[in-house]
Amino acid sequence: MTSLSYEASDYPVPDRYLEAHQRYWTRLARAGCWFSGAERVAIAREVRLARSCSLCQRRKDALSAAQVEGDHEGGGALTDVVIETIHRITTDPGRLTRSWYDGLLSQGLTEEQYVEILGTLVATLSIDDFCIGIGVPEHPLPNPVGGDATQYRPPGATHSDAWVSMIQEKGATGAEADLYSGVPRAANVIKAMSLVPDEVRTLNDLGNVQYVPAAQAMNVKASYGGLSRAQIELIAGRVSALNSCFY
Amino acid sequence: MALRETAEINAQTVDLAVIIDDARADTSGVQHARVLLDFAQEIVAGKSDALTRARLAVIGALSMDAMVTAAGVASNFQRMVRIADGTGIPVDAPMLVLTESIRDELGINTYTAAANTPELGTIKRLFFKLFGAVMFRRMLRRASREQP
Repeated sequence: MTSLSYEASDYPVPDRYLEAHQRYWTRLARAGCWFSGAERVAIAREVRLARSCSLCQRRKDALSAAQVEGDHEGGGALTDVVIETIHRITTDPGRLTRSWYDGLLSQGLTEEQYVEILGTLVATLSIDDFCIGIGVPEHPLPNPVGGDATQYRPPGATHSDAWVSMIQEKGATGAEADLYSGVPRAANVIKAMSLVPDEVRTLNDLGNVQYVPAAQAMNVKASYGGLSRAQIELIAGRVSALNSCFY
Repeated sequence: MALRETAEINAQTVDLAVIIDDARADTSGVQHARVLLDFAQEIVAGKSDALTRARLAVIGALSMDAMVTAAGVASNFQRMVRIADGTGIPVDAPMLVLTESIRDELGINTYTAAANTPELGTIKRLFFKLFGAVMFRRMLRRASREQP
């Protein structure tokens, strides 16, 4: 297991960050539902490569990403369609379209694989950006652990009005009963990753540390970690706007 | 939306356009908005000297603790925006109704991902305007009053 540390930081980092990030790194190294540990670590590595990919930069600068052809810089163990998925979501999330997503499926990617790639991507990116933010190097990626992907598709997942299938509140039963903490109506952004239930668990785990604890989420009068809620939401709003996020 | 609801419940006046317009930072109604916006922006842009300066500015204006929290929040939303835009989820109906006016004002309706959220029908829209949005605000007020 790769042990993470924030000892290189010039500033004190509360233990809750290290603990949550360590939990994710441990999970990253293991087989998931649709990818082996080695493939999941390769996905995380590709997220890092995407940020310096010149094709992605040219596409981002173009009026339409589809106008710019070429090969992504990176690759290795992953297929072209997986690499395209990782690079586009990492570098140009505000211009993703349904037709782009459908194109990935027509190249053989399944919706279950897509959700696991997305979950791996966003968790890695988020932890990396935290490191960048506080001024420490990104953590070394973990060594993969052997084992086969479980190929588990939750029985409660159904198609609704998103691109991917999701578990609605009433479908969150059995092994998925914990996903939405019993709330009568979970936000779509929480349900979005539920086709791979562990992605929702990671989402909640990291959000509890890097945003506000779930128990405090509705309390907009509370301050947290030296910031008022208004200051926290200001940062959230700016990051969303910079990424052209409609949600 | 969360910023507006937070401001309302805390009886603050916040200029929401500060989200997209730096020129409004000093009059936005949010304390130390300029340094926080700069820091968030530089985290999204990546490693640079400007990020180092922005980090030190947050520490100078607020604290080391606040800088770490701000880095956590910015990096958390780097994640959330990709989940939302990468899965094509529509905006939840109560939130859509609550944010109608600010979406127009901030130009958010022109974003590519707006296509994932169909317009609400008249009856549904009216229902959420009259009941859903009001109930959501009540829940926030209650939670903010009851919790320490």
